[in-house]
Parts: sequence; structure tokens; C-alpha cells
Amino acid sequence: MNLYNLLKPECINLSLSARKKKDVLLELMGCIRKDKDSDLLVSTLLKREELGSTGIGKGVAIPHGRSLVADKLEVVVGRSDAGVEFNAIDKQPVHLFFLIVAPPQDPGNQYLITLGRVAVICQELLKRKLYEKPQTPEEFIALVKEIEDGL
Amino acid sequence: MSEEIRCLLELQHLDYMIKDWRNTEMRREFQKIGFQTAEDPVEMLLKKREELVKKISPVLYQMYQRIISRYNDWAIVPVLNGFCGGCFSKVPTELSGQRGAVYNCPNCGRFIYWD
Repeated sequence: MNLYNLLKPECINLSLSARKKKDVLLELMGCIRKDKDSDLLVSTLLKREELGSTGIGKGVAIPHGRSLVADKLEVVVGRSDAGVEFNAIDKQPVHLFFLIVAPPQDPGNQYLITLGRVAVICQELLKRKLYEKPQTPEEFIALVKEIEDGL
Repeated sequence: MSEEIRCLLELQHLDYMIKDWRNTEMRREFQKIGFQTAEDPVEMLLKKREELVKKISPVLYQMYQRIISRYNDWAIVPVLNGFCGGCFSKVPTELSGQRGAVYNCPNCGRFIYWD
């Protein structure tokens, strides 16, 4: 399974403006849903965050959740130059987000596979802060493809 | 979307989460990725569930439980292009005028709502 196949330019925001947890989740969700359902999904994502932050350290967070509102697995990427206070495990601001939303019924467990894949790619993107380089969503997808081709 | 429908949807989302955290494989992968939790996540979610259930009328909650145990997937589904999102049968058009109210699909019995 390749992550770059799941990435769509319209679901990549390389200049997030939000600075707080809820706001950044709303901004990320805005890439896939702009209706009232996005509020419900954000509320679910926040409940997940209450269990323990999905900010896994080194400036990366992988918020995730399941919902019928999602008819297929969606990945949204966000980058914040200023950083977002996300209560990450290392208490550092988060600069790179991979939001994953999946439907509840998930043949082949794509949700779990994607989560694992994102974690691996994030490790690579963090090397020499590669994630800072792309200037456009297309360049970001190309970078992920390059990383995956090299794995 | 009425408050009742919103609560039922939130309950369903919580139930998905509880199911995931009860799944050993999922939990192992979450830990491998580096997600940390303060205490037993299932316990925490069950407490949240209890709080949420208090906001739902007992009749609706009983129906929700009955539907979930019957289908083991989802109890509340959107109506998509006039079709039930659970069983994909046509929803009678006269119901579509009642957006906001809580209805059951005449075919499968799941709660339905209009997006």
C-alpha cells in the first residue's frame, strides 16, 4: 500500500493558519467536508485527543477517527510554519499533521495499515526536515512518492 | 440536524472508538506508532458513553441498542439521494419533508437522517 496514492492536492494545506487544537482540526477537516458534519467529526477527533494526544512528538501529529460521515478513507495533510499547540507527548508545537478519517466498515483494515504507513513516512519526512521543502501540494505528493519508492 | 440525532451520532462514533481500542491488534499498532494514553482508554470512553447516554431518551437508547445488536455495524445512517445509507432501500419521499425528526428506515429499522 502506498500513501501517495491516497494523497490529493486539494487535501494538502501547506500553510495552516490555526494555532489551536480545535481550530486546526476544523481547518484540516475543511479540506474534505465543509458542512455541519465536519463539526461532528471534529468533536469525535477531540474525544480521541482526550484519551491522549495524537501528537507523537518531533512536531508531528496524526489525528484520526472513524465516521459514517466518511464514505471512504481520507488523508489530509497540513503544515504549519508557526506550529500548533497540540499537547504533543514532547510538549513541542506540531508542524506537520496527517489527519486520517475512515468509515467504520473497513475491508482489509485500510485504516490501521494507513496509520502505520503514515507513521513510517513521517519518520522519513522528519529527516533533515524534508517536510519543509515542498512549496506546493503536488511537490509534497512527489516527495512522499520519492520516499516510498526508496523504502 | 436535531440534538437527538446529533447525540445518537456521537454515541455511534464513541462506540466505533471503543471497538477499536478493544481490538488487540489495533491497540498494539497504536502503541507502536507512539500514541500514548493517560489511563485505560476503554474505561475513559465508557465513562464518556455513560454521560452521553444520559442525554438520550431511554426509548431511543433502547432502540439504538436493539439495532446495533441486530446488525453489529451502525444504528444511525444518512439518507443518500433518497436511499437509506444502511440497507440502500428507497426511503419514502413523504419522510424527507420531516428533516430534523428522528425516523427509522421502514425497511431495515435503522435510524435515518438527512444530510
